[in-house]
Amino acid sequence: MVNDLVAQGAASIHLAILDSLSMPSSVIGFFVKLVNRDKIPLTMAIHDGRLLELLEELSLDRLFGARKG
Amino acid sequence: MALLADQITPYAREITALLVEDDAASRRLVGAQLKGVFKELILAADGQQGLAAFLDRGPQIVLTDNVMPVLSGIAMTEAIRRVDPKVPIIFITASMDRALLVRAINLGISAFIPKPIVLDNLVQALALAVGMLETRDLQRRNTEQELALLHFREKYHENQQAIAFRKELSILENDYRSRSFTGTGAGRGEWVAQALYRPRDIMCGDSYSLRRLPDAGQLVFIADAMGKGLAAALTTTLCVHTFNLLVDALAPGTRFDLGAFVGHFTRLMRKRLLEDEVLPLCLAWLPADEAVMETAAFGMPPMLLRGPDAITSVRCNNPPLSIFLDEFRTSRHDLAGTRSVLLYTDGLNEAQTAAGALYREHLTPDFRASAGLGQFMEAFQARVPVAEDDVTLVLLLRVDGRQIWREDLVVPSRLEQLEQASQTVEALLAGCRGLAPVARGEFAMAVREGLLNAYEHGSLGIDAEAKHRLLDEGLYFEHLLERESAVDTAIALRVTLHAEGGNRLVRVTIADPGQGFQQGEAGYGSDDSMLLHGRGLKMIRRYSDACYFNEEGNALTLLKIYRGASDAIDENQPDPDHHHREHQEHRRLSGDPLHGQ
Repeated sequence: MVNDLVAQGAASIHLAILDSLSMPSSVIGFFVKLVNRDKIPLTMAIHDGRLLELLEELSLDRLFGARKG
Repeated sequence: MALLADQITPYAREITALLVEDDAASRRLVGAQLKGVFKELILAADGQQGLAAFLDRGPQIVLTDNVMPVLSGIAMTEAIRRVDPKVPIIFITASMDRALLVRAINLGISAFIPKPIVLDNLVQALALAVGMLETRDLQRRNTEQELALLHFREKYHENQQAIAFRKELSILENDYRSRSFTGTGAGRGEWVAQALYRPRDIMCGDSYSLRRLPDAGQLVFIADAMGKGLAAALTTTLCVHTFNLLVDALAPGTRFDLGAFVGHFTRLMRKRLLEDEVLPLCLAWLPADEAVMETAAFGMPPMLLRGPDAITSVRCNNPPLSIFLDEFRTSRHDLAGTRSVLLYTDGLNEAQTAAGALYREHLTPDFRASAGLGQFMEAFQARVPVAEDDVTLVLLLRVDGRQIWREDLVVPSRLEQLEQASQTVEALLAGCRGLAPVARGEFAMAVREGLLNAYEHGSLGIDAEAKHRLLDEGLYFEHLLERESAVDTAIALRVTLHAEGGNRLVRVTIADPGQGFQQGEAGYGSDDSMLLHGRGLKMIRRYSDACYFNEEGNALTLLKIYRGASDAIDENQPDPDHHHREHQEHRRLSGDPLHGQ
């Protein structure tokens, strides 16, 4: 789905993550590439505090624009 | 007659046939027609003889008349079918009523040949039956070959995976598997490193190394490559190998520079990462001359530092390594009051507990409540019965707390003296309040093994090869007594109890007069395998929280860590003279028996 948005020329992507408490490393790698190579700013509204905590712990909260949803 | 043989597939000459015919003339005639067709033709004069021949000789094809004395062809067929439902049976008969035909068909008769026999009918029936046998045999051989091939492939892959795993282990270097480390800086203290590497698959994404630097500092490395399986294993192998190569290439005599090292390392690794690949890893440097730890952590879970009063969670200072990351930060942490440091991969904190929660919720309390790696992993496994990811962790543990009491023994190299010394240690351990009886018994066994090793190898100079040979020959015990009467040596044994924050630490050092051994340069698990008998070393490692040798390899120290009793009675109990008096019989030398060890 995110790939479709990129293909359609999305200038930025906002994700609302409702019920995930973790994020696989392959998804992290995909988002890192999206921000750094494709230059598409990312923001995330994260509803589960454990996922937000995880991204903060991994120093990814700023890169992914993560905030509490 | 040769005509019939020529018309049947050559496969017929590999099989045995049974001809059952009560009429002697017919038997001779058909027998003559079948001459040369089969490898062997067995002749029988009635159904009973035919059945006996079938059971005795196991022919692959049966030709039979039906109307015969004693036992008819159809009755014989029923008996044969009970033991062999598949053997082709050809009926040669002058008459066939409807009921018999149905019965024969239900018994799986392959073909019917009316009497008098027409050669073409015989050829056709035999060709059909032999062809079926040949096809069946071919299928069986194919199946056997396929199974053999599958078995071979499975064995091949198993073997390859085992070799690959050994290779992976050989790349993980741990310079501190069998030695403690200290430094020159004030408050630096003595530490041991405990590492746990528990891959979920043979090849996995986790790796670690603990390296001794040329300037006597320590560098800890731990990585958790993205994903699972071969791709992750390839990345992590490259990563840890690159790390170790760079450590090996450090110039002697120069002070280590973490920033420069990490810059070099990450530049090399970024060349090997894919665009969408991230690589969480951590490097932690303990300089020899300062009580600090400097870290560069990339997308790793927080490391935990246990201080005298609290546990500090230190978050990583960089996102995971990727080809896009061209800057990084390092951080310094004061270790002066730190008693232990835990670094781990996310297989630990992201593991799902039996209650459905993430283990991260329990990590800090369990770390706080655990005295060492063994207790910590027991707590983890109690909550996470089946870990779904690789788990790797490195625990740095300070082991130089305040000494509460000390007991020195000098044990003459005699078997009965070893036993006495073991009992003395057990009595000392029994006075350690808070040390659970099971743990106490296990640690006492580890000490026994250590003493036995010092006696056999260090004092009497018996190497593992000679020991095995003498055990095989049943001469070992006699050899020990003979050797011990020829030497006048002793083993120095020191037992101390230390207070380490809320922990108590029993330290037993066993020093023998032997030459020791050179700790090798080889990697995981092979650094001291030459010294102790395999089972003895395993037992020592299993039943102690840490064990390590001195530089010479002739003094072994075993540690047992436990939570101190709340009333701290150990601290009020120290009466070293009490122990000295009680075990005076061991003392033969004056002064410090471990001096110089």
